[in-house]
Formats: sequence, structure tokens, C-alpha cells
Amino acid sequence: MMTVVSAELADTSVGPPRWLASPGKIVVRLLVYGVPTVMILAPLMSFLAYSFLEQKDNIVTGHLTLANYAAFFQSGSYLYVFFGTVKLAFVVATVALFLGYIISYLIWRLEGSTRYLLLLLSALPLVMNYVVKIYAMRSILGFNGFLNSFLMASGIINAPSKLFIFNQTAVMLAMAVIYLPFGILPIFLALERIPQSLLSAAADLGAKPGQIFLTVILPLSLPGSIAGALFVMVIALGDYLTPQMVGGSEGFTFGRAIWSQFGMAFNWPFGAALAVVLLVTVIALIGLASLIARKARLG
Amino acid sequence: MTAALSEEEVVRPNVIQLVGVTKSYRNLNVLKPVDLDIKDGEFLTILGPSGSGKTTILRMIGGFTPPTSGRILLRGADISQVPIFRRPFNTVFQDYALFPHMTVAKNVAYGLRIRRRPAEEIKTKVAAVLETVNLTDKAERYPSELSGGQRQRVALARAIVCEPQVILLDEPLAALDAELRRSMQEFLKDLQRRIRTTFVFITHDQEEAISMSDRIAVMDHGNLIQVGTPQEIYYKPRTEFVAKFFGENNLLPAQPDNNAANILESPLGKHSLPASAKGGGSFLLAIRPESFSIHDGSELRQGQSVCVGRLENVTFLGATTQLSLNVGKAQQTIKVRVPTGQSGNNLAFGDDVPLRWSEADVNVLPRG
Amino acid sequence: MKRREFLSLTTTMAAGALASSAFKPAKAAGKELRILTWEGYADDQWVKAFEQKTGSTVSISYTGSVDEIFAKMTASGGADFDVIAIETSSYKRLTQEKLLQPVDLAKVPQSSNLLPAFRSVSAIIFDGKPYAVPFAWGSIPLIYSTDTFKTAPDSWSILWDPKYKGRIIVMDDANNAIVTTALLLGFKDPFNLSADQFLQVKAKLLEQKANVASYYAGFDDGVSIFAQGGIDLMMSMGEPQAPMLRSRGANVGLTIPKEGAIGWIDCWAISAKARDTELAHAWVDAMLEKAVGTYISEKTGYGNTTNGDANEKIGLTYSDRLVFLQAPEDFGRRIELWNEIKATPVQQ
Repeated sequence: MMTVVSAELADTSVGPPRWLASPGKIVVRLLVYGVPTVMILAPLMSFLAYSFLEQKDNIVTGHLTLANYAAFFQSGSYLYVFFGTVKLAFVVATVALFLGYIISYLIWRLEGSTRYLLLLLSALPLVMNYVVKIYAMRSILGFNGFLNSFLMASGIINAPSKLFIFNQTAVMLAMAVIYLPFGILPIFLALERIPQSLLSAAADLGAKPGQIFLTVILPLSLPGSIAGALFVMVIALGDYLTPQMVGGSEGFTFGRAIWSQFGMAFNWPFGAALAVVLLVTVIALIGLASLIARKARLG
Repeated sequence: MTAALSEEEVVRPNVIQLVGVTKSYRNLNVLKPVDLDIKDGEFLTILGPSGSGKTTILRMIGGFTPPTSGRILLRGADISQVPIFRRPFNTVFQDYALFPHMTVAKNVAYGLRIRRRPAEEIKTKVAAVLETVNLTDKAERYPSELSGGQRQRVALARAIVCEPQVILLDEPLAALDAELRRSMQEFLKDLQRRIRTTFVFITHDQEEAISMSDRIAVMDHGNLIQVGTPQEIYYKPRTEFVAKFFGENNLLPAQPDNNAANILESPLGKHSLPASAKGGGSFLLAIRPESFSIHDGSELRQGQSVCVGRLENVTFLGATTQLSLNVGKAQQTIKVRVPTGQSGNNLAFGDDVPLRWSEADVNVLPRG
Repeated sequence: MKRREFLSLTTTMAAGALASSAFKPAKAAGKELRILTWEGYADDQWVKAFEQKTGSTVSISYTGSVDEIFAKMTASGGADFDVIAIETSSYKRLTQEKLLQPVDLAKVPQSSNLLPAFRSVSAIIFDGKPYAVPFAWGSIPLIYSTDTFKTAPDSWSILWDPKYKGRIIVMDDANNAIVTTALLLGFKDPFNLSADQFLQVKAKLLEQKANVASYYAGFDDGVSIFAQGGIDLMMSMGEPQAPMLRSRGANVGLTIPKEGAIGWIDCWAISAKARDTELAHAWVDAMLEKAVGTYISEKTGYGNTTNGDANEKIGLTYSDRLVFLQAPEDFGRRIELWNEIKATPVQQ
């Protein structure tokens, strides 16, 4: 990529005038637009192609078939896991939206350097290793974890509880915490995009702080925040490790099901079909997010 | 103030009074103590270069920022601590600050809706105000679909619909191009006359200030320097800054005469020192180029003086012609503006031109 | 195949030294041996000795998963590698896809070192010909808390005991779970289940789910959950989890229940398109030196196939009680079943 970019730069500085469409320029254009397109599209296309291939006795026969998709839509357990995962991601995104909005709003209301310091702090988990974060969550929620120790020390419970680990609550808690920074940043940006003068104008027109929030801040920041939450949902959809590691026997998600087809069953066509189902879902969500974001910009 | 107050000014009561108002951020004094009376129904312009503190004054009146010290009175009552949303003022912002997620009608209705006015009243008033600003047909548009001038008028409508006691305008025309600006100036002035509401208008544009205002408050470096009608500000500047700020002016050094007290000596000759300009040291004389005329030898009236200048340059400006002349021993250059017809008497460079002026038009300023 | 993660993490291989041997320029006229293996299975000292002895150059490619081995082998029909190390259950597929050639034991004189239990492992014999030579082994034992159990539980059925509800963890591995359950149910061939046996296994695993706190994701994950407390029993991923747990303060024991347990064997095999089959056989032979076997046991904690004393020293005395992994009848079906188990909500 770097060499392609520098070739384009060199072209504009020492090459023939811009209006001269030299063959070299066309090549550079092709490289600049083509290489990333190919690099992104090629693997996706191969997935798509694989999902229509027939596999018999562990060997891909090369015949085209819809059987892989049929298998998904007819299988109770894969459908169940798929919708369970979508629901989980939705809940995680909703929690991230809710908590993320509150945190972003509080940070946004601050002034001076504390504001950016806190924002930086809230984004810091993004640079932490993801597995480390899961382990950290588990050491908080776990049987002899921080939460239990705290509750026991404060006399609320007598023996460590398994209420916070290896169940759906744990999955939602852990994922919400892990994905919160992904929510905080877009929401903060959505708030930051609201011109200060609009708030002044609202106050000037007689709105009290609560009215300003409801009539100006919320409607203007909500679309961007929802778009941010949808992206959290997209990331959460693909995460199978967190549910696996904190969800106990209820931590099975669609990503893990896809993985099992590739890594364990060696049934790539079926795995690819499952992956395409997830991909279509993700694309739909991203489309929805950008639609909301665009509408927000226009409005 | 030397000029006598006009009858109108005497009659009009004050809406807002700033009493010893200051503003400082940390250690920075952005506003030195300011006393300013704003009269009911007037179009007051606060004029100054950027950083002079004019917007700070507006923001303090509006309630966006509290004064560091001093009081702000509304018809005699101290409102310094009244929160922004309870002040009966409305602001037109420099960037209009229209709510992008609301239609024009909703934007205009905002202040009434917040105050929970009956729906019928809101509807009627919004329609009437949109009519006033000629935007009836744009009621259902969004701000992003409007031109700059239209947005400006929505911002105005949004402010006036609340029937505030004062409308504060923070450089509302700065973002418009020259042509639109001129028509908006006329529109604003006309609007203000029709609705008879006090306008406090912020600008850094002198011509705008002079053409629109009933009175102008000139600010510089956090100081309120002079308040007066455009004519007073223009012809009777009280500081060098004001004298230089508006249009072309002649500023000449003047020293007290060694022999006679109360007599100043300048390149133009001798002047009597007015009582208001006390103290020793040197002074500046300010006299507008158009205050001079070419002396035709007729008899001088009371208070008129003459001198002779050597013609250095002639600039044709259309209706007037500007002459550059050297006067006095130091060959000080002054500019003289005369109707174009008057200067056509075969003047040649190097000619001595006799000038005449009224001493009343000479302003004696302390040297800054 | 998660034990690889453990292996790659805990073996104290000097990665730099290994890398340098991998990129050694081929000697102009010399022979070259290309190895595809797990980290820890081609230690520098053996490689050097082998190179000196045979006058060849060894280049090693390390792999992280069985997937990768299949992908790399199928990409060239095996032409890119001479020898590979892989576990018994993969041989059915490797031979089906004709990626391997039989090992000529006449060219592997040190095969006489093999302990009796590893002389005729059925999973690597096809058409009567051996396709690999066993090298290292281990099991999927039951690990239990010695605080809770004064004596080792003697049956896998303990994992179904409601007394330990919520205090049991099981690895998230379809085949291991199904084979172990089949062993408990007493099925003769746990790798070829009938439709009815499938149903029984499924019912049994669903029943177990109510007891399971978590299906853990890997070596470290299992150790971490167990060590955090509240867990009494685990279907382990391999012997090394026990010392890891002890080092983290958990009092645990390890046992092979009376039904037996899954065993695995990593074997050396020769690629169908090996360039120099003589040299490949020489490598396989060299790996059967007793010294190498001893080293494997001491270093990794896994069993070796040549030195019984070294196995005994680390407590791996039960190779005869293990059921060594074979390719199951239908891996996809087993995955399907396991996914169904995991997807079914627990019946409280």
C-alpha cells in the first residue's frame, strides 16, 4: 500500500500534467483502488463460493449446491444459536449504548484537560489484549473473584456466589464492559459534534438544562450513538471467546459454531455458509448504521 | 459629553444598565470596569476590533457568562445572578445556531414551546413572525436547505417571536457576502423600527455601525472608550483610537504655546485649548478631511480659521476629490476632501492652496 | 488439539535458534530434509546431531494447528515436506487423500526400541502397512480436587453426580466428550457409533450439561477456572494441567477411571512426495533413540514411546489403559451433536 501511495505522489509531482491520462497513471489508479478491493473482496468471494460447494465424505466434490444453507435453515440448533447470538449482541449493544451514553455525556460535560484525560482513560482498554480483558473480567466475577470477596467482606453474602459467573448474566456483564469503550468513543464524538452555540441558543430561548438535554442534545446525539451501538453489536456478534470463557455451559455462540466447522469438523462449505449468514447480518447492520448516521448528518 | 443630549435621549428610560462590570479569565482582564446604559427601543451597536471585549459584554447581558464584578440591571433590578433561561432577552448568534433537527417553523416555535404557550398562540405567532421575515413559504424546510440569508432571518424570527425586551445580535452579518450584508443591514434596521424592540448589535465593521445604529459604543482592549450617536463618534472622537477607527481622519501633533496658556500650536496654526482637554504635555488634533474647504477669500465667519498648504497630490474619488497638502513648518501632510467641482480651479502640484475650517470641527485629544 | 498451545508455551525452546536453523541456506550438493511439526518436537540438539550424522541440512516449519498441517500438505500434495508429526486420529484422512507413504520399518532399526503398547497402534495401520511411528503420547484423564475427594473417583460417572452440580468443568471438544461418554456407556468401539449409540451419547451429555459450570476453551482456560475455586472435577485436556494447577495452589489429583480414558499419540510420518525417502526414514529412526524419548518426557511431561523408566518417573504408567484416538466415523456428525448439546438450554 505504501509503495502504491508513494507512486501516486511521485506521479503528481514529477509526472505529466494531470489532464494527460497516461497509461502509467491508469496503472497507478488500478493499483490504488484495485489492490485493496481485491484484498478485501477475494477472501469474501472465496467464502461465498465455498458456501455453495458440496462436501461428501470430508471431500469437497466441486458440485454446486444449496444444501449448506438448507442445513442451516432446517437445523433447529444452529438457528437457535444464531438467534441467541443476535439477541446477545443486541443486548450488549443496548447496554453499551445506555452506559456508554451516560459515561460519554458525563465526560463531555467536563471542561479542560480532565475531559480528554478521562476520555483517554476510557479508551485505554482498547489497547489491552482482548484475552487479558476476559481473564480480568473473570477474576472480578469469578467464584473467588473480587466481586464475591467484596460482597463477603461487606457481609452481604456468607459464601461465594456463582451468580456472577458462568451464566448469561456474566456474558452480558463481561461483554458490556469489554465493548463499552467501543460505545463511548462514537457517542462522545456524536456529542462533540453538537455545536456549543446550539446549547447556548436553547438556553437563550428559555430552556432549562433538562429541557436542553431532551430537545437538543439527545435528538442530535442519538443517531450517532445508535450507529455506534450498532457497531458494538457487529463486534459482539463475532465474539465467541468471551461467552465461551465467562458464560459457562450457556456460553455457546454462533461464532463458535462457525469455528467448529472449520477447526474441528473440516466441513468448510457448511462453515462458509454459516459465515455468509453472519456476514449478511453484519452487512445489514452496518448498512443500517450508516443510514442512521447519514440521516443524522443531513438533518 | 460636550454635545447636548437630544430630547429623545433624555426621554427614553434605560432598559439595561451595566454598572462597573468587569470580566477576567484567570489572570486575564478581558473587560475593564464598564458603565453602559442601554435605552429602551434603541439600536445600540457595540463596535470594536476582535478581542476588544464586545462579545463578552453581550454574553454577560445574555447570561451566558457571569460578570467577575459589577452589576447588570434590567429596568433597575439586578439580574446579574438570574440564569440565562429566565432573562427576557434573545440572542441572534453569529453562526445562527439553528437547530438542525427541526424545521424552520419548529425552530421559530422553540422558545414558545419551551415556555409552554398554548398551541394556538404558538401557531399564530410563528406564522406572523415568519411573515415578518418573509419566510412563510420555507416554514417546513430544514435549516440545511436554506441559504445563508434565509438562515439569518430564521434566527431573527426565532428571537423576536419570544417578544424579548432586548434582542442581542452577535455579529450576525459577519458570515454573509457583501451584497447580502447590505440588504440585511437595511432589513434589520427596518425590522427594529417596526417592532420597536431594543437591539444590541455587535460588529467590528465601522460602516455597518454608522449606517445602522442609534448609538455606538466603541470598545478597545477591554475598555469602553466612547458612547454616542454615529455623528458624535465620527466628528467628536474623544480618543486617538476612535478618531482613527472611522474612515479618513487628519491627526496632527499640537503643543501648548509657550507664551499663552490655553493656546495650542499645531501645523495648522494656533487653537484655543478647550476646558475639557486639561493637563500639560502634548496633544493631538483630529479634523476630518471634509471639514476643510478651499478658502475663496470671502470673509471668515466666527470661529473659522485659515492656513495655506502646498499641494502634493490629487486623488479623484468621484463626487469628492481628495487633496494631499503639506502644511506648517514641519511640512505635515494633511488630507482635504472637497466636492469635485470645487477643486477644478486649475490647481497644480506645488501650488499653495488656502484652506479654511471651523475651529469647532477640530478635536483636541490627549496624546495616547 | 489444544495441548499444542500448552506445548508451544511451556517448552523452553530458543525460538531464535530454531528460526535460524529453519533459514539455513541449503548446502549446494547436500541433502535436505523438510520437516513440518509442532514446536518442541524437533529440538535443536537432535537436529544438529542428525545433520552431522547424515551430512544433510534440515529445514523446519512449525505449525499451530491440525488445520494448518492439512492445508500445507494438501496445497502441494505433500511435495513441500518430507516428514510430518501428527496425531493418530488424522491418519485416516491423510491416507485417504494420499498425502502419506507407508513407513518401511526395515529402514527404521530403532523401532525395536518401541515399548510394546506402541508396536501396533491400529489407528496408523492401513491395509496392513504402518503409516507412522509413535513418538509421544498422553491422555485425557479425570482431574479432581483432593480437598473434596480423599480417594480418586473410580468412574467417569462422577461427572453426572448431581452432588457436584455446578462444580464440574468439561473441555469444549466434541470428539473427546463423545468418546469419553461412549467409554462410560461401555460401547465397544467409541470411534464408530451406531445411530442408536449416538442418541444415547446425546442424552447422556445433555444430562451432564446440568452439572457443568463451563465448557472451557483451552489448556490455560481450564486451569484458570479450576484454580479460581468452586470446581471439584474436570475432564482434562492432558496431564500437564495437573502440575499447572498445583503450581497455582490447587490441590488436585489425576486419575484414569475404570472405563479407561482417551489416549493420543503423536507420530512421525513420511510425506507421499518426500524428496529423499532414505533421509526421511533416517529422521524417523533418529527420533526413536531412547535419549530423545527421555528428553521428551522430562521436558514436556508427556509420555514417550521408547523409555518406560522415563514415563514411570513422571507417572505415565497407564498407557495400556488408554483408548488411543482414531478417526471417528463422521467428524461432522460429532460436531453437530456437540453443537446441539451446547445450544440446548439446560433443563433445570
